Amino acid sequence: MVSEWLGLNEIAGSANFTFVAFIAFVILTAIGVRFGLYAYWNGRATESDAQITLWGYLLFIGVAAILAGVFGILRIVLRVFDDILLNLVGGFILVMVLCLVLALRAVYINSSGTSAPRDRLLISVFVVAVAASTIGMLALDSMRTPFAGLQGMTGVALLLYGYRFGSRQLANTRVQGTLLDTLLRHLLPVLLFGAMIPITELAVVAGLDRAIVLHVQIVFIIMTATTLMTATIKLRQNLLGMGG
Amino acid sequence: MGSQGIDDHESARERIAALVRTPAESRSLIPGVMGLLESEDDHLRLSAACGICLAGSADPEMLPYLIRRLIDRLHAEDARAEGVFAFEYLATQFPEKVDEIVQELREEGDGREPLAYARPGGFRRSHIYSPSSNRHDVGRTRLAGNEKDPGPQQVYNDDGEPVKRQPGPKTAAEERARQKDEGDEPTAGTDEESTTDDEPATDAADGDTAAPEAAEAHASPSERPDWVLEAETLEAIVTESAFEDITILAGHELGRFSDSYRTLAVARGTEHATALRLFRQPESNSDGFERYLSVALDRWNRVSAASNVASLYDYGQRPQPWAAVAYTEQTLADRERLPIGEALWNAITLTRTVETLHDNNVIHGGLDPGSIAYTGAIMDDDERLTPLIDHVGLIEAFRFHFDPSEYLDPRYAAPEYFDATFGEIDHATDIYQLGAVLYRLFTGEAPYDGDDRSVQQQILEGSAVAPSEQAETVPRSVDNVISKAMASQKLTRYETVAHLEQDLLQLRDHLVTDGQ
Repeated sequence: MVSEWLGLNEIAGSANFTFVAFIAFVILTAIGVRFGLYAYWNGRATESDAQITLWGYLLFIGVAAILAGVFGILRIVLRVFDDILLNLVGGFILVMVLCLVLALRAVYINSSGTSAPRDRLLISVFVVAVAASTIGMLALDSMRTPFAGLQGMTGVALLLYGYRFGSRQLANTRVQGTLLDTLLRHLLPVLLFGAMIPITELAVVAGLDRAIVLHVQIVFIIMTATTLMTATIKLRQNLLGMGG
Repeated sequence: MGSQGIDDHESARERIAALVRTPAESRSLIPGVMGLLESEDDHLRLSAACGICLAGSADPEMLPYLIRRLIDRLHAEDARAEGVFAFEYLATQFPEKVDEIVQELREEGDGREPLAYARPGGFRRSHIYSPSSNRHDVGRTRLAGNEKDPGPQQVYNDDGEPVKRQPGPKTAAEERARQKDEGDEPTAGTDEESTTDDEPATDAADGDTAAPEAAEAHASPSERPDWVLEAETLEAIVTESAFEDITILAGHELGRFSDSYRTLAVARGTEHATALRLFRQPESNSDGFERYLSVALDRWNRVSAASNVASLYDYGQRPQPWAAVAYTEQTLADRERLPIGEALWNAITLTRTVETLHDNNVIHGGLDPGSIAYTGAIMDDDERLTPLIDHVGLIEAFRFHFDPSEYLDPRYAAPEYFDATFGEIDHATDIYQLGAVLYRLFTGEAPYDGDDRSVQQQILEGSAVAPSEQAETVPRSVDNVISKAMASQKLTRYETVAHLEQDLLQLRDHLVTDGQ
């Protein structure tokens, strides 16, 4: 039974690509674990409500990265489910990007000293879009293309909205030069490369072969993992300063 | 001048000459020569003073008479410099005898201070003489607590007039001394009265260079047996040190971490004006303390040669932990509010210095106005007193063995000193406390005020009044820089001192552009 389920399941029928994808998912998982742990430890070390919110979102980013990496590995080592698992990977990546946007938003609210923007409806739309695109691709494989389009558009919207907060934040003189400033500068590339993973689904809608899109997505997964690793350094630095 | 006057002068000169030739055998001449100290002739007065000095040295039995007569003259409104000179010579040569007679006069005068006299062009010496058997004072040196003494750093212009210190020649300490001289000093003994309004209510706020109130009391040697350094201790330090000789120039001052002696130390033929500091030791676990202190001094030594760090010439552990540090005259705690331009210059200088410390992996940990020293040596009005960072890293050794609040002004302490959830004491602590020092530089006030509990609460909440609200002339752009440096959470604090320096430089450029 187990042997029927376990075994190499090549992605896009390419052993080379599958090998690279396996490495990418392992790296994403490992770095997700590290990022999530440091976010958790930082959250535990502080008593500031504003910081606890931030570290909470960063913890979710780590968890989403772990889940994306684990399902990617399962896609390769399990002979069942096939691309359903890849759709789950895309979904968790989108969740990770959403958490990043919420983290940037939380930092903006706290450091600018302004009240929270009236974007609750917009955030709700993002959550619904992320859920709908993921569940749609999972449940209605025959209608994958329209849901892939929704996922891509959600990625674009999240990227733009997150970048808006990030750029405002970087221009905020109350943040410049602080540890928070450098953390944000490290998270913005994560947002960019993370968002590019769902955005490339738009190429499928445009008619590009999915195998090619998968190759591009793997590159962005590696880039996301790499940038997440440098962001982890800042989390570690802050934790050391907190006596952790 | 008539012939009678000429005869008198000749007669006076002969009497002085006889006294100088045989000082031990000319007792009968002394009253007359003493009277010549009031002569209008400079030459006669000076000659008489020399004769009196010789007589005192040659015939010790005459000393009581000489000293009493001289002290009488010192009380006169028009006391002559020659009388002061003669008295000071005898006091230097026979300190015990002078001490004894002064004490007798005190008793005869119902405790009235017998030595209240003003030295022409100098400083009030009402309590300067407390000689004792092993007194090492020499000449016109500043003694502990004598804050009005311009000291050897006094600079004179081409006209021979003392150059006013720049900026704000009247420091807080000087102001206190002035008040004391004018008799309007408040009743001593309360914290408020013994400190300026912007200074902490503890003696700890005064650095080694600032004379604490305790030292100002000028107790007699019998009351303060440790007023001077014991010869054996000094010899042991000289033996252990790299110095060829150490001369104690003044009695000890109570510093923050140590008892400090103003000294002249000679190393490889070069003289250094130093403060010899004998560190306090805990009653228990002194071995552990010495190890900590040794490590701290090693670190300080690593950056001692850097610009704007108080030079640490030498240090050792025997007979008790000691360090020879560059002598400084005052601290930021003694100074009043600086003009914006000078405050910014000080801020940039200090920031660069802390950056140097951090580059060398040295954490100060105890930055506050009491650890920012000034040498007081400037050449003209346009010059500024250069700040030196003092007590580098010492708090790390002391805070585990003593009450830290005695060694760091709590109003400038980072929140991590009060609550461990704010993190460890590290370079970010220096950034916070440097920000608090900048607050003091720009506004002349501490960022927080009140009793200990209230200050602690305010620090943890990070609720300091913005500098521009504290002092009207402070530009609003300063607020942003200081608030980032003093952020209670390390995450929102400047990540490095270099970032703080960058913002200060930008601030300077903006102020220059705005013509401020």
